[in-house]
Amino acid sequence: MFTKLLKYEWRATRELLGILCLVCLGASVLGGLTMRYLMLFDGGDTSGNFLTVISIFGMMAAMFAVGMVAVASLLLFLGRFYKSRFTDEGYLTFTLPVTTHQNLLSSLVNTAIGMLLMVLVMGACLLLWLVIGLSGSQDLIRLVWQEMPQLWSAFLEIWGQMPWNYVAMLGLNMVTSAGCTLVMLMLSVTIGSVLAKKHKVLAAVGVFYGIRVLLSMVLGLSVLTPILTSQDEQLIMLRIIRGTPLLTTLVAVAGYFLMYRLVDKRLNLN
Amino acid sequence: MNWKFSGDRPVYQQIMENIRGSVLRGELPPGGKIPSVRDLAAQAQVNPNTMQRAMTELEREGLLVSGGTSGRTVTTNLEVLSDMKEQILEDLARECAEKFMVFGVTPSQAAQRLLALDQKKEEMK
Amino acid sequence: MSCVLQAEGLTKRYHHAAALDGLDLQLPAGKIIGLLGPNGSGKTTFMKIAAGLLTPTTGQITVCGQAIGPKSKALVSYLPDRNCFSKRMKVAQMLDCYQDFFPDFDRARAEDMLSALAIDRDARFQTLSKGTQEKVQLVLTMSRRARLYLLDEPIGGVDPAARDYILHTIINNYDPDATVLISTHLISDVERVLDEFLFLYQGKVIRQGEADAAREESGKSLDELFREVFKCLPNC
Repeated sequence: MFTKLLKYEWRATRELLGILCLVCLGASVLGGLTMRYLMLFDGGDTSGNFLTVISIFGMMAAMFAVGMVAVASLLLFLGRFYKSRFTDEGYLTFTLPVTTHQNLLSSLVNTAIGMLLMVLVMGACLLLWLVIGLSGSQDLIRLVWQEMPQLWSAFLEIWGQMPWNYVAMLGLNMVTSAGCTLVMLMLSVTIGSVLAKKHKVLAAVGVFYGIRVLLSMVLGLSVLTPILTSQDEQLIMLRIIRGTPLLTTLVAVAGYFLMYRLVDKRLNLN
Repeated sequence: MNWKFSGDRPVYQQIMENIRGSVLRGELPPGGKIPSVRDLAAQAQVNPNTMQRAMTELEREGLLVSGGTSGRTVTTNLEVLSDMKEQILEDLARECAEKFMVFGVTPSQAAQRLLALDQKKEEMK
Repeated sequence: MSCVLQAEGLTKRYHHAAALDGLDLQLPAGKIIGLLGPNGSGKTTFMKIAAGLLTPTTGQITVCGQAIGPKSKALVSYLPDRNCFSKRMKVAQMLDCYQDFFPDFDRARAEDMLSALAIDRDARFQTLSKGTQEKVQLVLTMSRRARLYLLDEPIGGVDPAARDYILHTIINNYDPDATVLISTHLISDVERVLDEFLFLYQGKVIRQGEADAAREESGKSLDELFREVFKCLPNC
């Protein structure tokens, strides 16, 4: 049943997601072309050149578009969660023979996978942007190519010296932080939809900001406590880096169970 | 069959009247097969349980005969049929008399009126 | 005869009032039952609780012996009084969805009914007329071989021909192991199809029984009986 739910969640979001990917691609190509143009004409007396001005605006538009794609994809998933559970569509969703956990987790998992996909797509697009943008700058490329071996060995040196447990922990921090934010967003939508009678979206936004304030206080404490309880710099760092993902995960789990409880007991579709 | 029902009398009784009427009019001949409860209920647009009850009652009365798995048939017992016809005609007469009574017309006066109707019909021919 | 739904002391309280107030009722199998009552009497609240869309404040409710949950939802087919499908979905996709999630969904029967109504499988839901949308939802609901069908105001707001079709579908779908609960305030249209009836008022059952027995006893139709019972109650 869970895989079926996931399948339907994915089907509902893939079209719009595809469009956003295309927008991202288009924006990156535009950004790349404008960047290439600007780099080639850099250093000449181009002030006032009409094409330059256009290029600058084009590049700014491309940057804006890519930023918007990121926001839009998140809103797409949250919108799907809201629409399928808390509007008239909920009359079908909540009468499906699945548990509440399966119901909520299918949306959570689909959103996580979808956002990950978007991150990868955006990364690839930005790479494309750079490749196109730098494709005309022969001198720069030649310079980088010459310096490549040196750069590579320097990179390898740093690579060898990196404290891997720290890096892993930082990575973990990023992942748990993203996951926690996702849960908090869905929780806000849930609280807004279940507890507010009117202006549910506004309520959800308000709740989210309230949660953020609360979380920053809690997180501040997690950073402050090691600092106050120890003099050893290394130990402090370790405690912070180890403690934060743990705390974040706990908060995410608590948030999930609050969402579960609200949906299971307090749901009142109208 | 004309399946019109009024809501203020039990539906199963009205179904039974309908079926008796059909038998008398010859639409359901003696020995003829009766459609299944489901089919008849669908035709009449009534609850199958109600149709079942009506059929069971008619079976009890002897109008319908259960053939086991092959369904129900109308009885071939002419006595049962003529008794039923008698009963229906008697009920009709009583109903008619009661209606005339409302206007202060006695049964014999009512009979005269009916006769006059018959004569008028003869004159028209 | 087994019992398809059992409710004991079922109460649903909101801040301002109690939508259901200590409701006790049992629905036997193989019957078409009318849940009749004025607006605000708790008909929709009761159905939503039985369907798993609402949790009661206190009291017990079981469907075929199961507590309300995924197992009971697999046995209950609910038709709400509103459209619950994504408007951009095609009819064929809705069939796929039902088939995917409900093992008791009889797709062949649904296809037959849709063909009889000449509904295009590729049509998007939003392009269909309101009456057709309701028919599609009815077809999907009644094509499941469920144990309990909950139809919330299925004939309100549709034309007489559509009403006949809906009643025709309910009768044709009859299953001696299943029960159909129809909530409506259009009693005269529906009463000839009912085995039993329940009069609901302010969250309680105030009268119930067999339809034909009530007619015999009172010499009235259910519609007339309803008017008689409810005209002397406040807030009606």
